[in-house]
Amino acid sequence: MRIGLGAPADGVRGVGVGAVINLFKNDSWLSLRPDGRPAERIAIGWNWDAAGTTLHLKLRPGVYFHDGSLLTPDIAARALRKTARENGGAFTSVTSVSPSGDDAVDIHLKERNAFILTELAGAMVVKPEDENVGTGPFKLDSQDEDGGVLSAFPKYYRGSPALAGVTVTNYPTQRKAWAAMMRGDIDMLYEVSRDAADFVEAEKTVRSYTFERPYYIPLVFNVRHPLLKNPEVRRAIDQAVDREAIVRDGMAGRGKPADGPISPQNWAYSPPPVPVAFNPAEARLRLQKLAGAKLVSASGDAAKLTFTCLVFANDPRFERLASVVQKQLADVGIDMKLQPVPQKDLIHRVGAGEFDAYLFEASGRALNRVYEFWHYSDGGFNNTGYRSADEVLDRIRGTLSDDATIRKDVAALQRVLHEDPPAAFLTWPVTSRAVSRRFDVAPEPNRDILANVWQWRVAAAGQQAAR
Amino acid sequence: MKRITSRFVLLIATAAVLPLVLYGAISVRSLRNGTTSSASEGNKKVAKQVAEQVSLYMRGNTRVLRSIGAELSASALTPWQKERIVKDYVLQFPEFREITLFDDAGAPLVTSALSTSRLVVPEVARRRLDATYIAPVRLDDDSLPTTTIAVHLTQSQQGRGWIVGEIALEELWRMVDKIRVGNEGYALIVGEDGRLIAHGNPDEKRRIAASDENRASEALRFAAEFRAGKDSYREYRSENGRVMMATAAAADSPQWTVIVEQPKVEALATARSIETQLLTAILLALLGTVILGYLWGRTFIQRIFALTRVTRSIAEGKLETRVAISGHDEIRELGDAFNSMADRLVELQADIRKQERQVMFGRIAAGLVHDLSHPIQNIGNSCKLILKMWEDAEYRDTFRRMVEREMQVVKRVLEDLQNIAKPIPLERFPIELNRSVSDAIESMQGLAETAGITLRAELAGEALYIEGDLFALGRVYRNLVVNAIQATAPGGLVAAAVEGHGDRVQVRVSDTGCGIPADRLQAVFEDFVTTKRRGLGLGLAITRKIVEQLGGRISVASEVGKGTTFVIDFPRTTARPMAQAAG
Repeated sequence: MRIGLGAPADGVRGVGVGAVINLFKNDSWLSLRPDGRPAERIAIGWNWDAAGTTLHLKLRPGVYFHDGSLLTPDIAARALRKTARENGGAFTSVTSVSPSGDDAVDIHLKERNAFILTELAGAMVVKPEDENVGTGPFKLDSQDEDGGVLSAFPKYYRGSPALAGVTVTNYPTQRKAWAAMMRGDIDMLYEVSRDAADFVEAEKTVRSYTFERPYYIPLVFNVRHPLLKNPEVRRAIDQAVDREAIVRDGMAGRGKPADGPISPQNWAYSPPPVPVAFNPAEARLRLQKLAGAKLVSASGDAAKLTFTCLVFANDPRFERLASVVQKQLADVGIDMKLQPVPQKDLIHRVGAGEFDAYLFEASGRALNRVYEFWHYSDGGFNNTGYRSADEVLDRIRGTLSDDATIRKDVAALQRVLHEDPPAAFLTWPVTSRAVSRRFDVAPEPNRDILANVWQWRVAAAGQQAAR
Repeated sequence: MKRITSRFVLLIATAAVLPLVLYGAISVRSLRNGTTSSASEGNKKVAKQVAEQVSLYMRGNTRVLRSIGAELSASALTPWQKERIVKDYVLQFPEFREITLFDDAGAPLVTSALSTSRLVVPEVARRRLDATYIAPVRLDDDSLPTTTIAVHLTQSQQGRGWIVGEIALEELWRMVDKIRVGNEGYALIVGEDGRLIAHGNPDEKRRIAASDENRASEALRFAAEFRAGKDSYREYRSENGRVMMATAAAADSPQWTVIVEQPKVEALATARSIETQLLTAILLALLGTVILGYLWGRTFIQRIFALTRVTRSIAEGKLETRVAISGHDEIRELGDAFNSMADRLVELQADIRKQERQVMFGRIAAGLVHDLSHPIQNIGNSCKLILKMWEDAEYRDTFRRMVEREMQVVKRVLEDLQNIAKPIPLERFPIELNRSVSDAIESMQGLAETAGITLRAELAGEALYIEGDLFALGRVYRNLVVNAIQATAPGGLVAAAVEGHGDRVQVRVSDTGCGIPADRLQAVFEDFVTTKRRGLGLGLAITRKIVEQLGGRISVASEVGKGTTFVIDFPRTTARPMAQAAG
């Protein structure tokens, strides 16, 4: 199967081609259910010790790496130690990892951290000595920045994949990837561009699979910015944003308005205390009051609030959306300048705190991602200077199994994010993948079809003809 | 007769079928031609409308660019405001992927792009200085067709300049996608260089991206031919083998060609449906005609059959049979005439029978008179003489014998009459034929001699027995021999021969007499038929009756002037007379 994706090739590890290849090559230690709770994958069971600082992880038997070696507790411990060293997030709480008996490992933490489980759902099982050797349904044959070639791994623990292999090709844009699919150069479009979605859906030789990917797009503020540090300014911006119009005009209707960083599908989700509402008049009023108090410095236009928003360059997904937001803010007198920068530069500048605001896409399925993004981190990727949610986020992180407490704290988090917004949470984009009908895909409702890629197969000739 | 029915039905069916088939063929042909013409005309109108829409689409986009130019020229605007205007237009009109304002030298001033503008002022536009220039379709960075519109600004604030917009042809696709002719008829747009730039069929959009492949398609060839001045309608076979009806229309600006193609099967579906209905109607009408013709013809022919049956019945002698025919037509009149004829036939038959009875009665009366008048007259004369010669004892004895003889004659006549009317009482015993014939011949030698005839018996060499009545057989021999003697001129020969043939025995009585004419030969055994001038003619009738009652057969062969031979034939019996059997 030939898979095409459209992403600007700017060399950021773990995104674009690398991320897609990881989906085929690797398995995570745990998986996440649609509601954000951890579920078994390579690890088939877990429990905490009484202190809540040691996680006992029971490993699935019969899992092989692509080099033919068996996943043992010793290898697992070494792999987890390496992962903990190289990754931030909840792994920063890990002090050591040790094998435990014949089929388990123990992860020792310096503090209680409930997010280690969901963090394991994002961490891939790779051989400590070679990150290209995973346990996924396909093994990597070759990879470069333009794509990769993978072949079926017969010893995959869920059974040998029906497809002989997968070729991943990167195109500079989703539109170009779509054109490649129209030409028949690829069999699957990893992500259908919003502008092309209705054309792809109408085509009979291709089947589209749409699902709500738990990623949201926020307009993230640098609260160290002299103007944006004022919560009133951020609230005014939040009110000036018409999320419905963003979905309609900026995303071709393929998304849902966002009210925070937590997916509505998450088990602990609760809406903000006051619904997010588009209110340009009140936004203007807030800004006028701020101007009166000389809290806003004019730039050219006496009443204009000006800041610069970093946007991924050469990525049409963000360009139009950013223009819509820019127009909406301009309508209330805010001059949001858009500065397109390559993804790599954007990450660097955000980490260095050299920005006013930026548009990004972040995961909101699990609470650990919310913590990582919105908890203060000096010098980290989310170097926004925002600290207002730290207390409640720390409480959530330290609660290992008390659902009621977590729900209460999540509600408190929503309140904090509403009263002192670190960002304008814009939309939850809807994602579409398209697969040629020459292949039988095993879809699951509202879930990424790639979760079952090892079950895909070439459709029978009769079925293809019927299609 | 059934063939007449078949012919009748065939005649009616043919009379009905030919016009119907003719009508059907003409109707179907007209319908097909009409529908093809109407479908192509309809599609041509659609193509023209789409071409107009395409022109309007591009004119609309041009107007948008002019409007932006006018807005940017209206008053002194800050760069921020200019950029806002341009970006707002791009957001408002998704037809534009990017709009950029250029100065007269071609340097970008304001752009909707987030970063550097990808657009330039087309060189051709700069050379020609036309108010509006629509660039030929080209492939963009994503390998999809696109075009740009450049509008020359002559009164902008910063002097002359250009505003250039890059068109997202996907928006044009959406417009084309809405065009649908029937279920499977779509519109295509072909660029001035023969490149497919829009296809209304979602499954054919791939051809837009597959530029090399689409150049070979029949639709594109048709577009090229149309652009070269050829006909705006053509039928061709598509890549999937379907015959397509295609019509073309030209957009005026840009020089694009719109093709509307529809599978011929679908375009003519209505006509086909009507054709089917028409043919079904014709077939039903034909079937109905045949059935009705058959039923009606059957009713018609049945009356003729009835006449035939009655005719046969009457021919079989059932003169009372009559035919009942309904209706008020000639067949009914024929039936009535037939019945009248039958009535008349009955009357005529009654008349004939009456006449026959009268003739028969006359013959019987004449025969009786003949047979009885002589004995009665003899008796009468003798009675007169006896009065005179009563004393003569010899005469009295003669008188007695004469009366007895004549009374025997009378009695025999009466017995004959009685034998004709009733079965003759017979007593059957084994009889040896040689002997019985010999006795009979001997008893009639005197009669033969008197007539001057030679009478002889020719007996078989063996004894031949039959089951018979000796008295009745004697009468048979007597009848035959007497007739033979009477029919034979003096000097002639009468012979009675006995022959055995297997299990049969025969007695042949032949003479050399005058013979019997052939036309009367078969009637000689009937009652009251005689070849003699006078008499009842019961002799041979009684002879046949006796022979048949004894289980035998009698036949006659005769040749006029040569003689006659009667043959009586009996089954041979192995029984023997009781005395012989006992001895």
